[in-house]
Amino acid sequence: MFRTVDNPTAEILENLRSELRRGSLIVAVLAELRQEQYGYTLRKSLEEHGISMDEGTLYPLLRRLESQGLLASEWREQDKRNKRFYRLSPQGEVILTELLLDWENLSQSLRAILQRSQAGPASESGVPSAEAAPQD
Amino acid sequence: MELIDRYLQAVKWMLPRKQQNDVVGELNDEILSRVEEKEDALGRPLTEDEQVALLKQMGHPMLVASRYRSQRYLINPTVFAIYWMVLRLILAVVFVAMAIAAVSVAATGQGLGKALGIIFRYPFAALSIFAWVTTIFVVLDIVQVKFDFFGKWDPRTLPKLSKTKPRHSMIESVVGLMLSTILGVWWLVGLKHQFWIFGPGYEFVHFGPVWQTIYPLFVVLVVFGVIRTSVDVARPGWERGRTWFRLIYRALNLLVLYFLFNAAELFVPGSANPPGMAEVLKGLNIAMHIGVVAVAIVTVMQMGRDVYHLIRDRFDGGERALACFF
Repeated sequence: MFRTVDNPTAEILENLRSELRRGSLIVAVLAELRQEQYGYTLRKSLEEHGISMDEGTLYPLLRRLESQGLLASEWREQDKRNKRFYRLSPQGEVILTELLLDWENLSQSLRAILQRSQAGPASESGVPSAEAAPQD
Repeated sequence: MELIDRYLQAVKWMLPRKQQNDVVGELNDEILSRVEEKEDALGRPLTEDEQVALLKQMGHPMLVASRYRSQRYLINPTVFAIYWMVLRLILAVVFVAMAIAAVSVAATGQGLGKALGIIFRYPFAALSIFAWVTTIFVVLDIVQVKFDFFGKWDPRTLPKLSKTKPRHSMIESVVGLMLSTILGVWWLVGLKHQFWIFGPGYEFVHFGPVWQTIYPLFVVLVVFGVIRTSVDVARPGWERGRTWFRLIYRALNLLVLYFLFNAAELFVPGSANPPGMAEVLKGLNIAMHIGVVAVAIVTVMQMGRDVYHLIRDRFDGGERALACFF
């Protein structure tokens, strides 16, 4: 899913990627659990949407979110096996709404920063570029 | 599926008791779901090798279990920097104290074994210091959290700006300290029991009398050298102090070289005196005298550089310092 980099900076890049992803994964999990799911199907569903998450990350995260009151869970039998089903709690719904708002603001800010930096130093310093200058 | 049961059992053993059944139940379902998915794709049950591959993909039981535990620190990262600084300082101070004791023992001619014995006890002392300092900081950490120490700070209490940067790494300084101590002890003991320096050659060659005459100077040099390298460990950024120490150390070396240069015989024959030995020693003494002069010239030049650095630092710029003289 991700491009690989074959140089010594690969490890640094991997660490930064995982830092970048960490917060987003929580939002993705909370959003996915607006519909009740158990661990395996949740992981598969995230994977289908391009977010791969190993079980060593997912299950402890689910446990932590539940202990924070953002998720509710119950054990039920399905296909002759006991499975733990998770769903977003009312408190989780409030938190998710706030997080999505923050995500949207952050995304807009980042986009603005990227656009400004791509426009070059002229626009950065406040000097209007030739394209932006009024035409007489 | 015995392998999977064994895997889950290994994970279970390393989990907190309250979470064991819950976590293992969930992992069991995850693993079995993955097995079913693979078996459906292959149209046959998984072989043992395939099960092994799947479990390896899940991760080592210890790693899997560790992810369910909250992160714990013996020393909180917020106080770790202070803890590390204090630990290093105490370890260095104790090392200096033991090194001085070892040098004193060596200087009184009580034997290399006894002197080195003091140094070799250092690891045990260091271990004890480590345990005590760590325990104290664990308690301090609990106290600082309770009294919100970091919430009550004042920027005006921060240290003043430092102009210098440490030129040596901490490892270099510590190795330097250990080497200067061990070599110093070896040298002082060797001057009294020359076999330690000449080895089997002791039969043929001894130090001349001058070496015993200036023995107290060597003791001062060794102690000063240990103190100098200890300062490197305790205050790595103290460049000005380091230059002063270096200057004094070189002046002491110059004094030693002066006595050696003025001595007629630096080496004398040992108990065995084979034919031609007198010629060899004569050549050796001439070579040593030339060597002493060469080292003295280099030492004077180095001292000149140190003095220049001291003046430059004092006037905050080499050009201004030189301008004072010309």
